[in-house]
Amino acid sequence: MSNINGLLSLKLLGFSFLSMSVGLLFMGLGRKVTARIQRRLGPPFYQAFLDVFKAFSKSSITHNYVMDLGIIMSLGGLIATAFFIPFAGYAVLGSSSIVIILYLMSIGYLGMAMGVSASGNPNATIGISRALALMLGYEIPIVMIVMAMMLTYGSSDLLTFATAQQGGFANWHIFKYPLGFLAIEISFQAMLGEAPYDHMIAPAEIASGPMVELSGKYLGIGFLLHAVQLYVETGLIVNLFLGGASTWYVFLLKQFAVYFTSMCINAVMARYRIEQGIAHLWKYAGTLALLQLFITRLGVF
Amino acid sequence: MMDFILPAIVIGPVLIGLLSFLFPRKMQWILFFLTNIVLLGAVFYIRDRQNLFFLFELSYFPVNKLTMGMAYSQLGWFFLAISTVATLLFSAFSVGFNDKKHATAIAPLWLILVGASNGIFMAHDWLWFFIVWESMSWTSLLIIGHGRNKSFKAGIFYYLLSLAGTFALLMSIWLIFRHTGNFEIGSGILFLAQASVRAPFYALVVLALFTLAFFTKSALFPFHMWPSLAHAEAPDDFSAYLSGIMIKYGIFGLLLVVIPVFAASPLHAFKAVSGVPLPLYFTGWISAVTAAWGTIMAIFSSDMKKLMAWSTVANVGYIGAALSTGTSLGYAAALFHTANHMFFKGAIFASLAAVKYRTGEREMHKLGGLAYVMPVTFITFLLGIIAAAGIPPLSGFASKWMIFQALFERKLVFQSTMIFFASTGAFLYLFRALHTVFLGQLPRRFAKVKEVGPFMSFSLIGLMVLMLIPGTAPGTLLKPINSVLGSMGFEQVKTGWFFVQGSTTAIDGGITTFAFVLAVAVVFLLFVLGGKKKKVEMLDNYTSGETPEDWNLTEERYHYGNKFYQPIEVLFKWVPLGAVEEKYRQFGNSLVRLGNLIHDFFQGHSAWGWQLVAGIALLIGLGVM
Repeated sequence: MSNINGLLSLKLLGFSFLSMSVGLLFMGLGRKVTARIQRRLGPPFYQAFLDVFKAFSKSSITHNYVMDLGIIMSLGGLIATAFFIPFAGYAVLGSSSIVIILYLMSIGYLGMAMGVSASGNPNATIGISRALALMLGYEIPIVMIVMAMMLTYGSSDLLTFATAQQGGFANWHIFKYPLGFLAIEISFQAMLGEAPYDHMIAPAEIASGPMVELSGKYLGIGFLLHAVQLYVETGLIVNLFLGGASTWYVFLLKQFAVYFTSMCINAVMARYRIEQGIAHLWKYAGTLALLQLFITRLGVF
Repeated sequence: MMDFILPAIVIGPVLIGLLSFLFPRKMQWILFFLTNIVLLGAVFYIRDRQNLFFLFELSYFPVNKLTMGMAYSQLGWFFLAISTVATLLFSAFSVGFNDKKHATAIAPLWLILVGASNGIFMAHDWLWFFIVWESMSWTSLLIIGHGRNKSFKAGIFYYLLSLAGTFALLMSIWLIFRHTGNFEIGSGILFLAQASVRAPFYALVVLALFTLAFFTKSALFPFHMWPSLAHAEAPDDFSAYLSGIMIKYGIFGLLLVVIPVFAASPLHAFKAVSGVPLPLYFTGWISAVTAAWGTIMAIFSSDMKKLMAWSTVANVGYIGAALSTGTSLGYAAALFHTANHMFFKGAIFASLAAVKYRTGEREMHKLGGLAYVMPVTFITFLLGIIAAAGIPPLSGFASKWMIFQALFERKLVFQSTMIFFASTGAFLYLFRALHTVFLGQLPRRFAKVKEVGPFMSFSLIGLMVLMLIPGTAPGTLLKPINSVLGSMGFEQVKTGWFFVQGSTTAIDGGITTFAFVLAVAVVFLLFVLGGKKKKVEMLDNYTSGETPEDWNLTEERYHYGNKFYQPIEVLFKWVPLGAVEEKYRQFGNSLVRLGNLIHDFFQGHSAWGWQLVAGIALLIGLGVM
């Protein structure tokens, strides 16, 4: 509490814009990647920025105060989560507890879910119901992997995990926890809502799900939400498995590498049915993570 | 120091309750509220007066001179304080709730129950503990029943399980008394701790019986089904008390007896798994299973009160798991979550009672959109579910985080996984309740529903404050908890007002709240700077170009609420979720069969024949014939 001051507020302000712009940049690049896989030219890499600016400048509709509250709470919660992600070895709040990150992320989802549910469109709610059901699938493997690392280091601080991997390629957790890495890659795909786990948006099926009633700045905040989500989740994986980074551009490159992999899978996969998706996550990501946890637990005994 | 303030706190409400049977109903509720105000003052007046007691001697007791009564303990005071604060807010709610249309006659009984509850927390010996425990059980049975047939059935089920627990309690008390010759709780604990080396089997049996008694009360596996019946059928305003306070008696009992025995017994007395004594390791797993089970059942419930009752079961599972780690961090986490759960579950049940008060509806999917007409209730419920889902910066996060820290300290990663599953699941069912009751389309028949009155709103706002403060400043609750731990001889948790040190990391509630508020402020600024917004009607939705009037669309039909998590239900089809209930039913049927057999013996067609045979057999057996 003692270190709350003006400087920290400024830094946090900086980090909120950093997280949004990194995410938007990735979104643009991601569209480019998908386009090239499909042999299209694709939009320019800064397209996402244009989209957001445009959305914010247009007029919009709202159904009630809960919608406004929810949509503000969602981006606010997710940006607050971004503050806890160490960026290139620097934790701005002085703490990067993984339990806080995992729980604080939920407030972003809760806000989004609340905001779009208040729009009254059943398509939106179906999307949310699917997203939450899927959450039960991917959160458990992630937690198991985090706990495996926690067993090794006796800490649940993300920065500790990142610094432990310093000193070269061979120290990366990819090699120390290979099963865990595979599990988290599968879970990550579901976390981002990319194919084969894109049930939440499912454009042809439920009219873009949660996004269906969003317009103008609401849609803009929806875009930003996805952007910050990208920043947080890729940051999580880079810190957990790819050795963190000591310089900002290496960190960004690693983040993008994670996203790039995800976009490549997304471009060539079809969608599961929702219950298949959850079952698949438990069966593969869950088993791999459980094995990893067992192996680590036995090593610690 | 012998003082009459303890009997005033315990017997006072009972007497006022008995007296208030004479008054009209409206007066009863006001008396109930006023008594709780006085109680709150009294409870904070006795704070830290360690040597306060009130004992009386039973000279006519056949064995020897026995003392019985109440005494101050730090643990008891903590439970007394949080329950009194919560009860006061619930009583304010009840004053508003019990108008002409909704009044129930439970106020006098509730007062007696409050007295019994205070008695449990201030118990000095087993004799007194048992008396108030029993009074608590039957009073709550009468309240849950409250003169309705279906409710009474639920009450009877609850009471039967309680009775099983009470027998276990009686048996264990007797097993200790046989050896120590007195009913004092402290000496009993010491005796058990010594016995754990000399006669481990005896000690384990006694501890198991105690655990059984407290598990039935706190609805841990395999007694997890009674809250879903009792909470759902109890009077709406009483459910908050039932779920917030009454379910914690078992936790209190575990902390009173079972945990101190493990702490006092020598290290080698029990085999240990990863540092946890084996019996506690098992209760830890039982608690983790309870948490997961309660969560799955909550996901499938469509009755809002049942859903929240299952959620209570899950939360007691978290608390049990924290207690079972056998570390002081675990005890602190358990106490912390006990207090937080009291307030957030109270808030949730109170807001649901407010919904039922205005709409008379309990099935969630028949409701919807109430947030737009009942904002205070909605915000209370929202904060309640944020706290219940353990999302920072509300109170539930701090305590859940501590529970995880306690489990991590013992490296109980698989239990943690189970608890985490429950916690993620909690997010699912809580959002379902939020959506189906408060969001989505507002049915036309509820369009004119109004916010609840000032008494109820006051109570809801009070509960909101109690959820917000411990989230930002965990020290407000952790400092009193530390003095409880100190008085029990455990290590204290390192905490400031905002800062808490766990086993693997530390959190600072102040900084988390600050970060969240700042981030929300940034987004709010963006939101204000963005283009103009226009408010449109709720049914003015994107419908893929179709005109909803063509298919007679109404708000009710357009509300997505029924079978909300159908995909998960499909996934869990193979899990025998009602298996335990089925076993109980079979046991019940067998009992009925046995009863019929005995009945036949006395009143059947050939009863006289059987009786004749039995009589002759008896005479032969006695050697008369």
